[in-house]
Amino acid sequence: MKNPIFFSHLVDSEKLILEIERLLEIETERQEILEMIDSVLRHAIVTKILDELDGKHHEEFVERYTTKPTDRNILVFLREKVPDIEDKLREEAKGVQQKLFDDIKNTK
Amino acid sequence: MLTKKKNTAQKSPGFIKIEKVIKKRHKDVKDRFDKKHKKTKRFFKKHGKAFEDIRTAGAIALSTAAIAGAIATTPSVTAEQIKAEEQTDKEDTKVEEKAKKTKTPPSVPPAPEPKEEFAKKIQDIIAGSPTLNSDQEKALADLLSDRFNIKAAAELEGNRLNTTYGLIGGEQHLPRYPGDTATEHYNNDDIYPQITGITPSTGAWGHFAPSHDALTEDLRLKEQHYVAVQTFLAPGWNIRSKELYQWFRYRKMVVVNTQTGDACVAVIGDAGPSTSTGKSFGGSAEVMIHLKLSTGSRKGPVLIYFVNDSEDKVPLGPIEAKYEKPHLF
Repeated sequence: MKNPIFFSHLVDSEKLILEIERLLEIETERQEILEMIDSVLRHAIVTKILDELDGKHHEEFVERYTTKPTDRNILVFLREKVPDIEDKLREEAKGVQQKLFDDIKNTK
Repeated sequence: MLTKKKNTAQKSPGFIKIEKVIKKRHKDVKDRFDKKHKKTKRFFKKHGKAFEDIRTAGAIALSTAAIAGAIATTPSVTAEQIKAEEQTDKEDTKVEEKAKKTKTPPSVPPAPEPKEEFAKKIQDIIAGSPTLNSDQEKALADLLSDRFNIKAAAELEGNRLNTTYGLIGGEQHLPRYPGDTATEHYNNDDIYPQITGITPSTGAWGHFAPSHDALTEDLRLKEQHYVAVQTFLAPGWNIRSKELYQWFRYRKMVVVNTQTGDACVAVIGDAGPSTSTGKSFGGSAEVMIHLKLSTGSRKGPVLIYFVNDSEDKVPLGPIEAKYEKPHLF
């Protein structure tokens, strides 16, 4: 994916994207909603990272993330500190998306 | 005069309901972050960013199974591959440093000017004019060239567009080869192709490749980052249309959102839009995202300049400010 954020590959949003497409017909509205969802996911994933990462590494993570959020080396850095971080982030993303999916489905 | 209008477009009832639940969920997430990581929030501020601002052009969290699956099985995401790339980068850096030792040590480069200030400079030069005179065009060319470390020009090789400033609107994906579909764009990691759709016919220069197999990465990126410009209104079109038609094809451009300072390098990939739309340019989905014009009305005022790049060194996609003076000059 062009310029994906460093954890994009851990997030599978197909179900959510398809649900949005099913519910909204106007393409501009779809894009707007998907961008909002994107923001929620980013916030949730970064919060999870900070939950799992020892506090002494927080500033370094923030520096790397604010400098270049697409840098895949951020994941290498995180893996060194939290070996199963990818599994944890994958689960977090799955959980957040399921909640969003259920919330959105119930609006119909 | 181009002014920013508040988006007053009526939203559908479905959108309003969905927006409400997402905002609530987002608030929950934000509250949790604020509560648990107050100290870390200060680190964001220290680095000059509010958390919400971490959003480089095109840096998207959403992904899909096709993409996630492909990347998960791609060796390049292993630590070994990344480390190998790092080693190559280190070796490249050593070579550069050795070369630099023969020159005067550079002073610490200043931080690039914030995008907001850059956008303000653009607006000061434009000064509310609906069209730009040659002094304004030159001043903006210099500003863009300096900011992005490129050679931006309103006129290149004696050719120019009808305008360098106007409204851009969102376009659909273009068929890259005979039989290309929105699903194929999706499989190639294009952003939301099912949403923007694909045009029923080709762009002004036909397909990008004669077949799926002939579609190179270079051509794929060109379609992904294309702009439509009104070639038919370019000075000299009436008498040199055949020559200009070839000249404009895939011509590299820099597009800048005059209100935010966001910028993207793209290629001319189609002719349009129609003058009846009131717009002067069109942008692919990716271009519009990089310009922060992918939501709401999906249009906004931009500058669009040629990039003089005979060696094809300037990559397509979002472009940020650079510290160093250009090496291309």
